[in-house]
Amino acid sequence: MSHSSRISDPSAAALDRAALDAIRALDEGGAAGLLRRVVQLYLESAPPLIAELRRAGAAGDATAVRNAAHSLKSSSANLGATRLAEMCKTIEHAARAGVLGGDLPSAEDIEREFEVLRPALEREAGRAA
Amino acid sequence: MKAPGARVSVALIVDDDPMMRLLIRQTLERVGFVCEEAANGNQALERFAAAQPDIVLLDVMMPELDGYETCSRLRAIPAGATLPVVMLTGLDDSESIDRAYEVGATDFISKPITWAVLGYRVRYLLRASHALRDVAKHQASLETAQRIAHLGSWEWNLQRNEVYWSPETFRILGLAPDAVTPSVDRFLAQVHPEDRAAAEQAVSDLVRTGGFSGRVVRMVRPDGSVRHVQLQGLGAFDARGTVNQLAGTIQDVTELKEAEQRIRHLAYYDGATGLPNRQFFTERLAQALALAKRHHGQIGVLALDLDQFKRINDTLGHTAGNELLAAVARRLSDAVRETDTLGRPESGSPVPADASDGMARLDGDEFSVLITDLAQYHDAAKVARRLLQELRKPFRIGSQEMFVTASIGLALYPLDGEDADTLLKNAGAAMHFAKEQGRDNYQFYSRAMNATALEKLSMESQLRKALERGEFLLNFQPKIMASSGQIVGLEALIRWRHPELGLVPPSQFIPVAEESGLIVPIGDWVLRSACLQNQAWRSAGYPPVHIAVNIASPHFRQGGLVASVAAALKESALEPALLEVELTESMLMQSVDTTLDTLFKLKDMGVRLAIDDFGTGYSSLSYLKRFPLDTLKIDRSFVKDLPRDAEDAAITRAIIAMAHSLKLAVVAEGVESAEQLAFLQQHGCDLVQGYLFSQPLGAEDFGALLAAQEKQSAAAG
Repeated sequence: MSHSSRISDPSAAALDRAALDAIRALDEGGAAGLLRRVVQLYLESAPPLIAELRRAGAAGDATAVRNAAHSLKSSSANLGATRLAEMCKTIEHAARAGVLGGDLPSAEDIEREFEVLRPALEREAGRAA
Repeated sequence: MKAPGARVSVALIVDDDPMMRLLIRQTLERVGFVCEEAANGNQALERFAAAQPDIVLLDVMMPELDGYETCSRLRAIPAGATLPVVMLTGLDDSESIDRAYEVGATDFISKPITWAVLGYRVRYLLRASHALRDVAKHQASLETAQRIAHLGSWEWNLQRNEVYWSPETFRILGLAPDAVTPSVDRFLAQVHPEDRAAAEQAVSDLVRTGGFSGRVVRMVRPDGSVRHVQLQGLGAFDARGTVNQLAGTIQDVTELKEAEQRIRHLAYYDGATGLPNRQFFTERLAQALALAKRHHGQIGVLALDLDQFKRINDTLGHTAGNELLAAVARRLSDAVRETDTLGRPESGSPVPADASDGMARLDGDEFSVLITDLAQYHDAAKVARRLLQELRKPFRIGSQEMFVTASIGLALYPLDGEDADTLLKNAGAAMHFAKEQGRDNYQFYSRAMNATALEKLSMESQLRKALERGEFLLNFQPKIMASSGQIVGLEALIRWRHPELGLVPPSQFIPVAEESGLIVPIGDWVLRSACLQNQAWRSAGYPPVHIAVNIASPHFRQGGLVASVAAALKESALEPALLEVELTESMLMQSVDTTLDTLFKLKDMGVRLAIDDFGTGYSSLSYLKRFPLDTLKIDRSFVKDLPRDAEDAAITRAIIAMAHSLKLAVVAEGVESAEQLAFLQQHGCDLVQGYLFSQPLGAEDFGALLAAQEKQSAAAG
């Protein structure tokens, strides 16, 4: 299966709106600006995690790759970034078995997907606020 | 969902991802929680004490200290031991779920989290945890209450026959909960053997009626200690009205019982001697009287007073006096206990019972003994004699040796009174009479009884002397051939010619001889004398006659009979066939194996065997057939009214027929009239004996009779 074919498709399907609506529902009328704060936390935390993926991947540090992929997977899933979460999960599971690189999504693949998501998330956060 | 009222619940959120903490906090705050956060395991442990959370939400994957380790460490803190801990795990990771439970997590929530449900889940978990905690608390307080009250509870599902016992129930039964499976059988097996029937009854009542209450039974613990437990039970009925589930309590009331016992002891026992007191004795006596009235039994009441105890007390002082009293009480109790005639108390009596039950201290130096199941009145005298004898042995109080005697009065039910008070009063009066008679003796309340007892006692010693002095003699009654009138035998009968009393009838001295055992030497004397006499007639040239000797039961049963007979035959040189021993039915039937042995030994010697008084006892015909008998004697009671009494006539005819079919000769005794003789002749009776022919004669007269017959037959011949 080729991941690159899906990554190159910058459609809105990269973002699951239902997850975002669930977060909005926790914050009646958006009074607390919850979604904005969550998105902000995500956008702040994701780049260092992607950098860690790249560094650890190059160093062959499977544990570090796994931990970074796990964190990014969780937070991405929470925001409905299902495709990114899936990619992270693939990397996490392989790393747990000690497998790195090869046919797996690379840090660059993750970064590209994140860059696709970023404007969409900012748009959602802005709309909520 | 609204905030849950007065108390605010605190949730501690432990996750390294700030976004997760934010979302969880947001979710939980909406359902009323106050949230504390920790970014990793170490932080969580640090903040735990201050936060005092009601619930902990714990991420698994965290740097430094992961969720599993954090959970383990939380559990090790007392406050964290029962706290609900929810672990946040990946949905795809069943391994982590297993591990979560292993380290003590209460539950898990899988990621990604469905925020709309999270609040409900956490609230629910907290409520369940509170409920569990409350149950545990109630359970603990219930158990404490049960332990304090020694009250155990149990349940019994009849359909599945499953039994549950509470911890206190196990404790009461002395069993370890992990070593024993509760069951009704297990319970019943521990009931005291004497109470088991009652307990089984209670169980079956419970199953049938669905309830019982208040029954107290004794349980024996594995260590042997006995507990009194009170059982109560109630059943639940199903739609068809049958009991399907039972529940109840078991309460250890041993201490209560013991307290009751102590109170009873104070009320019923004498402190100085430990013996039952007058109150107890009177109640026991009343009870025994009620029983004796129903069963037509006889009871003896014995009043014992120490002779000149006041003098002892005055000389030696009260302390020594009391010690002596206690020693006297012990000795009397022991003696009473060893006396077989004393009835044993029945269990379940309203007054306490123990081994010294028959004995009581009424007052000062006055004791009393209750003798139940008195077979004969003079058995009471045996007890009195025994007690007097025991007291005559010296007592040692301190370094002093003391001698004590007592005077005893005896009152008998129903002879001397029908109620406890009268009997006690009359026993007391008899005791005073004994004092007047010079102390150290006993007296019956009834003077007639005194006379009889005295007579019996002196009769015994007189009998002993009679043997030495040769006061016994034999009389002889002929046995006649019914068909010819010829004398063919005779029965030897013992007589006692007392130097002062003259002739004493056998009916008076034989029972005393049997009771005292003197019957054996007396029997030996009769056998010997009868053989010697018969041989003397033989030597004098008279025709041979067989001589019959009555054997008493003790003589036959004590096994010396065979040797006695052999000795008598040897000494007299009489032909064995001329000796006939007469035995009664009841003697023969008592223990058939021994009887057979003795009979065959006698038979082997050549001695004739007769069964005496036939028809008055109980005989097994099949045994009769096995005995090597020669003669059967019809009892005189059947002969008496012959031939008018149709029943006696029929019996006599039947006995004759039966004896002949067993090839036995038949003798009828007590024949006094010609009509009787005619009837017996007509029906083929072989021999007759009675006043019609001759009364018992002395040796000389009988010899003359034999001589006359000899002359007659010589003339006829």
